[in-house]
Amino acid sequence: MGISNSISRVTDYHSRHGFEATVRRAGQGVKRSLFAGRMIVFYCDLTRPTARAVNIPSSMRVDRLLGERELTQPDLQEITTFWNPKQARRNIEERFAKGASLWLIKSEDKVAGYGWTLQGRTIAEYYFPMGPNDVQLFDFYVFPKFRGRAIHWLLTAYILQTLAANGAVRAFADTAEWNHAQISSFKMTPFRRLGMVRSFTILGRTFVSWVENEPVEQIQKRVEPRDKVPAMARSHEQ
Amino acid sequence: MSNEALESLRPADDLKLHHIGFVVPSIQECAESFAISLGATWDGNIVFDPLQKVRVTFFQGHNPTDPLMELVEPGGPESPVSRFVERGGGLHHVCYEVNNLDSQLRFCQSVGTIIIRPPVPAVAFGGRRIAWGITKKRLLMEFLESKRI
Repeated sequence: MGISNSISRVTDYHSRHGFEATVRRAGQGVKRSLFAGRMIVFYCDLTRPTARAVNIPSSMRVDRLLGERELTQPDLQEITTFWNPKQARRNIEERFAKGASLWLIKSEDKVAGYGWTLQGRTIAEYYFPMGPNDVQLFDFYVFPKFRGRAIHWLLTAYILQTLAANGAVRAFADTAEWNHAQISSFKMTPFRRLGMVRSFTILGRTFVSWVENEPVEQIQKRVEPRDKVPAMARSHEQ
Repeated sequence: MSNEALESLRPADDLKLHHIGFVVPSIQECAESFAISLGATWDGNIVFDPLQKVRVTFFQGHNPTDPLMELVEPGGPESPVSRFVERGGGLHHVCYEVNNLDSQLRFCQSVGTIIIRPPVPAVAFGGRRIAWGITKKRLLMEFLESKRI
């Protein structure tokens, strides 16, 4: 993104929200870039049956696309024009070439959001090796018009349900520490928090350090996992 | 589901506003002043629901036919309302009581409401089932079954 583009974004934001909000937003941007490397990692055991079946409302649908040819021109335009179209097109080509799937969620035939999955490998260097039946969920996005309607939750839960039905064993996802909306959404799905990692790349090599590794800590302290559902609750859900 | 089946779906005739949910950081600290400002009566009963991970209490207004007011407090850091409290809390949801919960949920889905929580028994309602949905216009709705199954 060029400097002129950044300036025009700031000017636009200032005209819409005023000085105070612009300063607050700029502070938020700085904070996010400082902690950009800190990611919350989530894990889901897809072999465990989940109590909730995901029902897609009749006005919505989820499409799984396995190649760029399956992507219609309006949908392609929708998912590439909202930030850097050239980079977005490159990402799409690269991801399909690696065997990734693009999941589009539509509300009344309009793209409300999307997410990517890749089985058996990761799209970039990851925090740990993946098995052949492991799936990585990455790059989820909900368009602003559709936010606040649990679209991210619906898409993620639907993907997990479909992956489990297709024989996948484990699923992993991660999100930035500051992305509270996505973290809350993941907590509503069968995903469980695995910990927090910090990663950085030097001379093309990615280094990872675990800031928190909750399951290991919990085992060492001999405490129950924080998100464990009480026995009574579990009996209701089954 | 066929178009005819979809068209036959409509909201239940017996749908009745049961309560309005208001999220606060602490029921103990807010309840009395809340009751005074609403002119409502409060029985002091606070219920913990481990499934919803919240504590709740109810207020009855002057008119007994009025819907109740519910105060909701997070039941722990993993509570679904924790984030809402961090952002200041406030009006949170409306709850409708209905005889046939499953049929009502089918109707909701037919008009684009996302059911984020399928029916589960609720401690605060003596084990009657509740479900949650978000409408297209982002209204968080709770549905309460009239009778316990």
